[in-house]
Amino acid sequence: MLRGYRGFLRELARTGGWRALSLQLRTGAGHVLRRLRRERGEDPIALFFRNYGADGLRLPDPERARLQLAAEACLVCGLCSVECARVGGAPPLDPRDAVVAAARLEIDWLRLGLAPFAPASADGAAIGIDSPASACATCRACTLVCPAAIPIERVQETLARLGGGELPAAPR
Amino acid sequence: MRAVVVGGGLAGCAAALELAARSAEVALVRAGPGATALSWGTLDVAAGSPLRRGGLPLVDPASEQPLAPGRRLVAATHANPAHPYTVLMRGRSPESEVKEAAAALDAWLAPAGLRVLGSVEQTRWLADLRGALRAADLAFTGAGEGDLASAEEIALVDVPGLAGFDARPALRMLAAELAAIGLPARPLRVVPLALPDALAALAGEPARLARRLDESEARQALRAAIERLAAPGRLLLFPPVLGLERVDRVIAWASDTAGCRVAELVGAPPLALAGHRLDRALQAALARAGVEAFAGRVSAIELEAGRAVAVRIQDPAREAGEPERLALDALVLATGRFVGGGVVERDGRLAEPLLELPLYDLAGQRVDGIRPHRLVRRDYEGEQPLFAAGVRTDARLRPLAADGAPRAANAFAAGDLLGSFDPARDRTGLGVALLSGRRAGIEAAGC
Repeated sequence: MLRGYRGFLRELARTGGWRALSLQLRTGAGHVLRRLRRERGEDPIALFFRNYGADGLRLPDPERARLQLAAEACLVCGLCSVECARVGGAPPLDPRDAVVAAARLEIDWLRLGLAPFAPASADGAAIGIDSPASACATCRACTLVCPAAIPIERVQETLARLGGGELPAAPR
Repeated sequence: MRAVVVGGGLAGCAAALELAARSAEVALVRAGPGATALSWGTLDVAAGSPLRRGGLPLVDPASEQPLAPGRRLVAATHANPAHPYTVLMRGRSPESEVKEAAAALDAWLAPAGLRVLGSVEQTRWLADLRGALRAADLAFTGAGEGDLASAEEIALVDVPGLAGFDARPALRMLAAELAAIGLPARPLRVVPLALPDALAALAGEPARLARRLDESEARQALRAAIERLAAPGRLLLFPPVLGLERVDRVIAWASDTAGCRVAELVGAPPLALAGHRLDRALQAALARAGVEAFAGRVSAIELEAGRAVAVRIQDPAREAGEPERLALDALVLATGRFVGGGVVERDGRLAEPLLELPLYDLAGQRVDGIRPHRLVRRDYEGEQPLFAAGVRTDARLRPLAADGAPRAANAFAAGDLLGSFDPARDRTGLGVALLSGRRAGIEAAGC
């Protein structure tokens, strides 16, 4: 057991972990002290964005976040694409691509309740939509057929709007 | 009399069709197809997977004789007195109840080419996509033709590149399960289906492939490849891609072309086309019966003096607008469970959003207002209180409030919204939906 402890100390010294350990202890102690003194600091969310807002982090558009998190329920069954082909728009859309893209785009950030930088591409190519949303007939055939009840038409519309650069560009 | 059915899965459709048959003016509000569109191609009244825990008993523990499906159903109600079947079967014969329900469903679906095959008198063995066996006595056209016991030779059709299906592991599992069940041994093989170029490009998108097979030109292109699979006494089991609209025509064509029996494997999402076909056929039946359909989610139910008087519908296309109001004389709630949104997590706690009904688990414990993760246990195959959460009803299927009295004199509940059973575990999901949906419709028509 002693050998294991010595190994731990050696590992700490070798990786420079002492600094991390002391930082951990200091912040931990500070946290305990603040709790003891019952300090109510500034709103933690405001504090977060004062510190990290300049890096481009923002609160996401709640509607967009809701739709993208809903898109995560996609089973990739492809029924929306079939329905859309039946409607026969020109150019033909593949709503499934939009749903799959929505379920991936910045999804880890959205789960944290944050939005990182606005997507760079203006034509939507960078986020995986290769058909313009203007082709969408907004007939909602895709939404009505979706077994996972994803509001596909609105996911598609939201992504297309993102691709169009309507969101404010990231600072810097 | 005006009735409003909330929910467009099998339970809601069955209620609406029974109401329409009793000359009520019926409106059906549906947000989406719900869990019915994710069903696997079997009508799970008393289906079971004998080699998995939690399924219905296949053998009578007292006499050690195999149980007929109807008896399995009775055994399920004995094992769990809170099961919706217990309410539905009280004072009735389960076999005749199921037979009648299956005949009614068959009549609704038949114009769309979907039939209910099999009977509750005899256990039939079907194979699913993974090669697992199901004792599924009733199944829809597609999987329903695939009874394994009567096949001299079983051949799984491997479609190269098809997303969601791998024939070789399925064959290994099927062989092991057939042996474990003790069915007489018979040859099992994988036969590859060489798709012509025009169709091979669609293998990655099963729904599109199925849609193309509805067209006779696409089938002509496939003719030579199907003819090569022919062998006398063979049962050809295809992955569930044989048509999106008229599976009966595609199967009849393939069977004629190959000169042997053709069926689909019982599918599972993402190959959820069997559920989609069921959903389409039900929608067609609703349209024929003159049921008025509303797309949207019911946002509120208005109660007056212990009766439901109206629902408000929020159309997702215009969230800002004023919700539409539908006045009613009778209400059927078939909002489903977690897929349909009949049971939701609200502010981190389990709730029934429309009438604030209390929810119960398998053991009859109240579970509403509890955080969902507290209702999940570590045992993977074991009972999960969360998955059985739903409402409790009186003998007329009226959902009960916390004081044990019906929440409203003219509100009825059906389908997965009914609690105290876990459809994924005991495989009675569509059976409960069909039987309780019909009964709720009949009861509502009497309002």
